[in-house]
Amino acid sequence: MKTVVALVLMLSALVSAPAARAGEPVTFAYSQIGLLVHLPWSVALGQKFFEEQGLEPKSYNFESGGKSIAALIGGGADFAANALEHAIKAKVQGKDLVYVFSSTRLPGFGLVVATAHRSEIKSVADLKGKPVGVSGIGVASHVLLDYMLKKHGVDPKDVRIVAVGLSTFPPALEGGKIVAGMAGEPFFSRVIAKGAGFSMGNMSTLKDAQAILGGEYAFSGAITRPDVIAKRPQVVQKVVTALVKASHFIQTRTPEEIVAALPPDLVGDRGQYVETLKASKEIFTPAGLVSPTAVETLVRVLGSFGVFKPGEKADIPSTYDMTFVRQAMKDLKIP
Amino acid sequence: MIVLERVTQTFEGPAGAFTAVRDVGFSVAPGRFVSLVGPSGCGKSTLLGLIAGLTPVSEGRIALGGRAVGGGVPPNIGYLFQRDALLPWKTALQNVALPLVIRGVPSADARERALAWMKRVGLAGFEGYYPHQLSGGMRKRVSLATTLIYEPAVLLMDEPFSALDVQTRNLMENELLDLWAETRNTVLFVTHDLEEAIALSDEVVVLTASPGRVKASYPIPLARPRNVIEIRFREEFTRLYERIWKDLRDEVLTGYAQATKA
Amino acid sequence: MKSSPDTRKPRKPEPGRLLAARAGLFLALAVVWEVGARTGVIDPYFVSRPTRIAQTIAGWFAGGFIYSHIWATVHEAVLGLALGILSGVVVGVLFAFSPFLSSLLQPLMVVLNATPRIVLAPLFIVWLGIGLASKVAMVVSLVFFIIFFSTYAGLRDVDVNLINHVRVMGGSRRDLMRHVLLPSALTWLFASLRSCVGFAVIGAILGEYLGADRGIGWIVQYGESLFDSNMVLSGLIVLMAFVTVLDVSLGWVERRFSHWKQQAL
Repeated sequence: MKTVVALVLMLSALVSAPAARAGEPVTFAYSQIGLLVHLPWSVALGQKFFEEQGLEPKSYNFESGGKSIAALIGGGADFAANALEHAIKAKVQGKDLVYVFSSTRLPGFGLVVATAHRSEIKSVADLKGKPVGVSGIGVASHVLLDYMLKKHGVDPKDVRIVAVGLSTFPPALEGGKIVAGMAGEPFFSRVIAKGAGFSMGNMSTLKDAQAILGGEYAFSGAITRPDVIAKRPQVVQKVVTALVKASHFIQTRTPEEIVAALPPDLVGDRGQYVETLKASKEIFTPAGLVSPTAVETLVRVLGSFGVFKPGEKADIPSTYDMTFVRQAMKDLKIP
Repeated sequence: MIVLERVTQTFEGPAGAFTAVRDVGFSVAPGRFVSLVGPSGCGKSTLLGLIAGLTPVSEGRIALGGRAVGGGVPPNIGYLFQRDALLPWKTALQNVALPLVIRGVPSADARERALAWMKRVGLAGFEGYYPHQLSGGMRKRVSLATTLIYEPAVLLMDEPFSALDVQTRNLMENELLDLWAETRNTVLFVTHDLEEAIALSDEVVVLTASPGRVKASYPIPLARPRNVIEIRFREEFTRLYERIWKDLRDEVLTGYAQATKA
Repeated sequence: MKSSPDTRKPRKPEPGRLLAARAGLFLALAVVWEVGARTGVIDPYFVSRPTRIAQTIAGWFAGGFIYSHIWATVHEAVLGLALGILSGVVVGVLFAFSPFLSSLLQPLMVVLNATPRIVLAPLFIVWLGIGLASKVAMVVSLVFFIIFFSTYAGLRDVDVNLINHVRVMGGSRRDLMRHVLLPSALTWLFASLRSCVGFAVIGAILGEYLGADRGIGWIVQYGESLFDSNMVLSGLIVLMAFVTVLDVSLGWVERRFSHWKQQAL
């Protein structure tokens, strides 16, 4: 009996391959699909912008950035929703990847200090010798914290860096495990709203990001391989156009409208999502474009963290290509 | 029927070569019931294993019905083990029918014959029971039926009733004699219980302590049919017992001394 | 002369009362959870509430969202289970009948089994792609070893007496295989089957969590990336219900096939 069932299932596994394919197949690899920075992708999927372009998207969600990039490099995926940082790091290791669309122009993190320590911590310099939280060792929040410390003349080695995760940031701060740290949305806003902490630089706003980083920051977007661009340039264009349309959608709609546009079962707590969007709408690019200065800022920060080996000059311009975005803006008549 | 000539069996043990039996020779005529008695460790079970072809013989010759035993189990032999050897995943009936199934008897036939045998051993109604649901005595009876159903010419029995309580043992001994009276196979019965040996057999062979050798052989002229419980009270029985016991006792003491010294 | 059969077994609680007791416990826990979340004793942000979870799950089933995900997980688990059992039995039999093979490769088996599967998952993705195959491989990597070790032990552990018994009554090697070895191995197999199914589901979920396009594990990862504990817990509850149903059905199957056994406890 069991063998019969097994055989049936094995056959069905073969047969259950797609029946009628509407559009051209394209595979996306995400790292933690629900993260806020992937919003343009979620909007594009929910509003079927990819199908509109004649594409049939298949989305794979990975539990970490490294795995999604591995899927891209290995050929299992055509596009990965990752930060430009990954393309640069890959370049340093000798692998060619190209960032063709930018979802965000700001890091989306903010430095929060516990209200309990308001009197003794008045500036970043006062963090010396204290336990400060980041979401993980070596990840974006850590890199940015490192940059901020150095900018204020603090040697990061003099600060006790603690990895506290993203959703577990509030308990860590409130519980006294850390006196300050880098929090992402919606936790940044929650902590401040609760009165448990105050902001010392919210890089989810253009204003603070300008002050701290000197401008925009090339963060997350769409990365692909050079061979995909070479062999299927129309597909790349279509994907980017769909994403640009989504970015424009985000730019021009209210948070409530945006949340309504997402795939319904994959929103979670609508109220919370709307609040989060209100607090961080600025992090999204209006149309998918990243400026060369934003890239320079990123490279500066990465260099400060020690990503490049001494004397090494990575060919940065080859890691990103905005021609597809510009073409999409032209096609969609976005100014 | 069964002939042993100068049989010697050596095993490789942890302490080097170990001789279980040395230079054993005796024979059992067809249709006779012979018992093999001796102290523990004298090699009686080893001999049965050799006759059954389960282990190849180191030295000497064993013949069954004129044919030499070597390299495998000879056909038409039955063996009742000391411990339970019923297959636990088969019902009593399935266990009894198994030898027939193995011989290619069609299943309906096999079932019918197995049912008849279960009735014969007094277990009618217990066909669907699994071994663990039966008492020790019942399991022995199923084992008996399993061994007799294919009418083996030679029946080897290795202390089959030693694990039973005394009353059940006596009852089983009587049943065995009743069944044997009908089938008249050649029986070689191993036991350390001299009373049992005398009560059941036509002849009692005494083995020495390890390494076992034939010490003596005693014909038992008691009339059949016998009742094993009543026969013990007869004068002839007691006289036979005294004679054979003297021989056996020396071996038992020697065996005990060997064991405690080691 | 008939003696009574040995059927002395310690009494188990009646099935009806057992079910009632379990339901009662479950309800009590749910009530504590709900009350705690509503009053703020436990932070609902991190643990949600039973009523919200129930609502979410009901919505999933009513709206049809959940079916393709459950199917994906079932598909991967069953396929992996079948392959794992088949390969485990075959290798177990090979090892049991070839002392050379078993002494040569036994240490390798132990080492492989000790490898954490999370470490293997990315390798499976690299070798087998991001689709069904890598999830099935995860499941097989868990199930194979359980089945292999059971089959091997079951075959080696057979009472020599039983083998001799069948040999003496005239049984050939095939008879031995059919009447003694196979049933013996099968009983060991059945004993481990139930835990195998649990592991099959775990393997499928883990594979989906690490990288997939659907499945219950995928839902859990999605919910995590949204920081939506409600979604995560709803997914986990669906998973628990699923595994419970499987376990109960298997328990029934197991009872049907092992009534020849003597239950010591």
